[in-house]
Amino acid sequence: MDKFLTFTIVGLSTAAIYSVIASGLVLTYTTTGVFNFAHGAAGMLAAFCYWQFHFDWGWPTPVALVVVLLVLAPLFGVLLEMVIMRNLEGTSETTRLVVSISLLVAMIGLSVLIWKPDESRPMARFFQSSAPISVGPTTITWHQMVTLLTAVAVALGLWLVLTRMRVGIAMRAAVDDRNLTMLTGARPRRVQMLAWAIGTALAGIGGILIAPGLVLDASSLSLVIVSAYAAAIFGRLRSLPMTFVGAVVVGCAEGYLQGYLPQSPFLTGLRTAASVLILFVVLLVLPNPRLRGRIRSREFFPAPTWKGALGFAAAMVAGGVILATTLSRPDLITYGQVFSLGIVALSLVPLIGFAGQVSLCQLSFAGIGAVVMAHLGGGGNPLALLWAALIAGGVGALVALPALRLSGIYLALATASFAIVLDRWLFLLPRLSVFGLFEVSTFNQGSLSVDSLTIFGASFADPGRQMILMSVLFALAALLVVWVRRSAFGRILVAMKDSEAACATLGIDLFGTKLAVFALSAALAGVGGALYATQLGSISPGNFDFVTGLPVFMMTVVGGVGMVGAALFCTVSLYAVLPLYSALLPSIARYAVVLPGLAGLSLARNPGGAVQDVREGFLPLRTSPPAIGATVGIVAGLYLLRMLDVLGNWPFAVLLIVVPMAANAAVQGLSRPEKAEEPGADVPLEWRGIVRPWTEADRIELDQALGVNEVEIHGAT
Amino acid sequence: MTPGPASGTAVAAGARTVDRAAAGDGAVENLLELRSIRAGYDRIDVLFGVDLEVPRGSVVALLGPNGAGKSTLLRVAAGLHLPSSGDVVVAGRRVNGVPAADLARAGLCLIPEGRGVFPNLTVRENLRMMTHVGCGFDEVEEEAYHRFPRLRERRRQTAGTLSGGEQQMLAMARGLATRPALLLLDELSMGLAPIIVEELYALVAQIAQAGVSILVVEQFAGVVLGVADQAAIMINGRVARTGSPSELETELSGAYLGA
Amino acid sequence: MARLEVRDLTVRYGGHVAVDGVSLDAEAGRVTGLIGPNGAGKTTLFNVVSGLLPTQRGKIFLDGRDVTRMNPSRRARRGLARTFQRLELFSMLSVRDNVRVAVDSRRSWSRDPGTAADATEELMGRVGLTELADERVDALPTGQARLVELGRALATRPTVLLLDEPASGQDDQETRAFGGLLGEIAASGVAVVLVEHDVGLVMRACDHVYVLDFGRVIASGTPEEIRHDEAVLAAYLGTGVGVRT
Repeated sequence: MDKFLTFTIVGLSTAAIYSVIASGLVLTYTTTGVFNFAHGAAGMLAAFCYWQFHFDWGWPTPVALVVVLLVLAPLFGVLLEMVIMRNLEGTSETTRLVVSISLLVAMIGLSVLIWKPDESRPMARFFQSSAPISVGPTTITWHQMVTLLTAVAVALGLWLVLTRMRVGIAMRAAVDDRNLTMLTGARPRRVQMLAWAIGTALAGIGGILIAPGLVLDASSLSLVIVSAYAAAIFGRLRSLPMTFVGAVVVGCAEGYLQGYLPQSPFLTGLRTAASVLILFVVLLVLPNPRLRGRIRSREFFPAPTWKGALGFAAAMVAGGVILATTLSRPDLITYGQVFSLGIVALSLVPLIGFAGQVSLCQLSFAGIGAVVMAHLGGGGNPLALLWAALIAGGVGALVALPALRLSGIYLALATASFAIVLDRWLFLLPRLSVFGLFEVSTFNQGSLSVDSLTIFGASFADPGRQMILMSVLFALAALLVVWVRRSAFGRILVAMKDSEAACATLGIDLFGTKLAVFALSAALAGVGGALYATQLGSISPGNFDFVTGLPVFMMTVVGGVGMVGAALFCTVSLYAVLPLYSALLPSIARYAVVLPGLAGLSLARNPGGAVQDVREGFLPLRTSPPAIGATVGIVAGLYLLRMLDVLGNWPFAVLLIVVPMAANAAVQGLSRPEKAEEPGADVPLEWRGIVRPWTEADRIELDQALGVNEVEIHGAT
Repeated sequence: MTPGPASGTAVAAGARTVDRAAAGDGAVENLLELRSIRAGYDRIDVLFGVDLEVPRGSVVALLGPNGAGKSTLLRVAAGLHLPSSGDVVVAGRRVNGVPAADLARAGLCLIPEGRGVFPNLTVRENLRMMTHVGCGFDEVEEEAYHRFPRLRERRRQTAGTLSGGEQQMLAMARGLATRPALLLLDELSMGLAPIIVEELYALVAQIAQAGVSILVVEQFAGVVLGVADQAAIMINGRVARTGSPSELETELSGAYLGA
Repeated sequence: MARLEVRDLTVRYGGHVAVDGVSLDAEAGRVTGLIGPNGAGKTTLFNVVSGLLPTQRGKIFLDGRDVTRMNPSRRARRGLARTFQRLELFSMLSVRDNVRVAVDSRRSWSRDPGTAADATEELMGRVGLTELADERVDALPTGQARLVELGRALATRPTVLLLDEPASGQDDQETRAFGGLLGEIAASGVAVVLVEHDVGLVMRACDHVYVLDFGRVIASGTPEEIRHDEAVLAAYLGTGVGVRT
């Protein structure tokens, strides 16, 4: 009984923290429609700031608390709203998701930048030195007391604000009917800013309360949010009272597991994964949403042509050969991931880009592929790649099976929780025998060694040969994805992304289609992971965990996830540009940790993705066969010079970039005179009538430009 | 050519102008003027160059079958929907792009179609929301309960649990209590029993007598023609006919049923 | 026997009865009109018949078979197709590929002669889209976009075709041409159900008209009968308000 009571108190105080964090999440989500994956990270930053002020600089507790919770956190929330969230109106759910995930990654990066992760930062509990209060047979610490009281105060405070203050009522009104809110004269913008300010402050309170019980570590504190998600999902991310109920369920479940879970290497992970499992289960029992109609968004991705795809594939192989023959051995190992992880990034293209289904667990599928490779690919057996595809694809279908009822943010949460269950539990399991029939094992509680591939007796242990092999496989995978997009299946995927309702009324089997694309994508990720494993030689769960996977997801979307080029953009920027940049400018290399996050944030402004911009920029070159020929010739010549050691690596690399750009500019320069001859609207307004005759259309345009009222002019003449 | 948002000063000036015009000051003849309005949703065009005027102190009825674009026109006038071309002129000021909240504070009040209430807020909280335009809560409550005693009994109930008629009363309370200069009403009668519709229109007539300019959109012509000074028939995104209510009454069935 | 039979259908959401005990029939080879004031429940009825919304009571029969519990895709495979009032086109695909998706879908459950590509071209010719085949659907004016939806719906070779305001956004000339096309489609043996606010088109094109108000059928008959029906006049004009209670 004592034990039960003790762990009830533990559970309740955990619940109290979750409820505070989750209520902030619900507040911002309902009032602004942005589900903030970075909510926990805001709490994490608050905890770090508080540690800095109070424990490092020795400010008194009240001063530090006031500065963090009443000044910094609300300001940060308002800043987020003004700089980022405001631009997200009218973007797709995927874009909004990526922006908030980018924010998460950027904030983790920021904290690593300011507070070096390897130092230990002890954080005392509140009133740690005071004796615990005894409650019957057990005791309750002052910290627990403070936590519980805070949760009650937050609940009361929120209730007061939301039902007694006009601005709080306006917040709820905006949730009901945003247009009507404006019609009453309330300013929704201001309401949203306030919601962000309060929401961020609540995250801060939660962060400061929970940090002493955990290690002050950026990513684990940021992921506390997953437990808060689980609480919030009880209220379908909308109801505050149900969120508090959810928090109690999740908190107590964790408390009792801590007290009663038998000691077993198979079950230790379960405790940390419990909240995630609860999240997963609750997501699945949520009532089935209606089929959604057309989603109108700013993004558009053209269908790839075979010519373009073959050109891309050829360029990839050429790139692989060039890298393999020019780079030093350590450099080859550094940049080797570009193509193998490129296949993992590529797996997002059919799933998100074509079908519009979000998955945050692609790197976990890659991890499964890697484990398969380690276990079955002894001696570099390439057949293990097939097994990796089959097993990862099968697991993908299994995950998809329940998750398919979900869409958008719920699907993202479900896939994220799957990834975290793998991280915290399944990837940490020891070898497991299933009824003595066969054995299942993942990482065997450590790391696994993986042999490099041997195909038909040819070994690919040498990093150079490996690089070429990977580039060929990446090119093939890209062609596969292009083929999918151009097939009947691909058209259905793209159609489904636009309107599930229309697809259903055309007799298309949505369930089967989604299942197939999930399996395909997971299989592709599995192969990518297996190849990555052969390059690493030794793999551990950390290579494939949830947080590591986020930048891959993010940068692929930033690249423009509807196109295969986005996968290359992703891995080149993450695994080539960033390391290169860090190597060149070691003094500011540490800032590299925030860059991917910042890149993701740019998506709010440019939802079409970076690859499209590049494609459009190179339109002159792409449409001129002689120029392509000339460029290829020059590059080949440069390569020859490099091979003859006439050119060093750096000049060669610079010329590789400069030559296509120069060729592009040249083609553009040559074609310009022809264009100018067309009598077009591109003549500036003030030059019309001078360089070409003045027309009626010009008069109308001038009127409009000057804002002259057309009615009046007609009246006057 | 999409007209850009008007500047902040123009908004403030507009705000003052509505009040002044309502007070009968100055030379502004029409409280609302819509000039060659074109508008649509995504790519579906709904309005094809609509001209409409609401003279100061008068009640204009806008009639027409469903899908004619009447509600869209009101949304354009209230600043909820940006027209793709044309001018929205309120009290002599062009207000294209002015946020709906600013127009509301300036004295324009739109009661939207299908109950202009917040269903998850209580009656009292709904009334509280009406104070954003600058009037006191006490006045609002008093006015609302005075006109609609039933609302007082239900003030702690959430608006979504009220009957259709009570919800519409609550919505109408905003048109009364905030004392707008220009009132836009969208399909007051939708889904309501005829007796309640009659009651509501009697109220509209009273508001009109107090000098408020009103544009009322209705599909049921019969109820509104008694209240209106002028009427217009809208069909397929265009104003097909304007005139006095009695002139138009005979033409309506043709316009609706394609005779 | 009617191709589509709706019996006593009732739909509620949030305490609001959107469709209240509606029964109607659509016969092969005929155009059946469905008109009514705003909020009368026409689009809701279509959503329920096509399976996008659940029903609380009542039954839906396609060719005599009860499809009330089937999902939208299975109903489509039994011969039901529809268009949408607010266009639901596949914006990433060209006009041709919009139709092609439906042709491919049809061929996944039925063995049709000829190639899918030919069938697509033939359908585009039928609705007059051949010239626009390679355009992005987002670039089309509304009138033509509606034709893409029509072509797409026809590609599943429906026996019952529900058209939700297919003429809105079309100019007069397009509407007239569209009326002719409707006649042709019906003549090929399809039961066409038309929701349309252009009452002129309904009166010209339909053989039988149902009038919906407050989610109920308040009148049905030939266009001529409807035009002179007291209840219809009251519903539209609000005259003699007492009549409707």
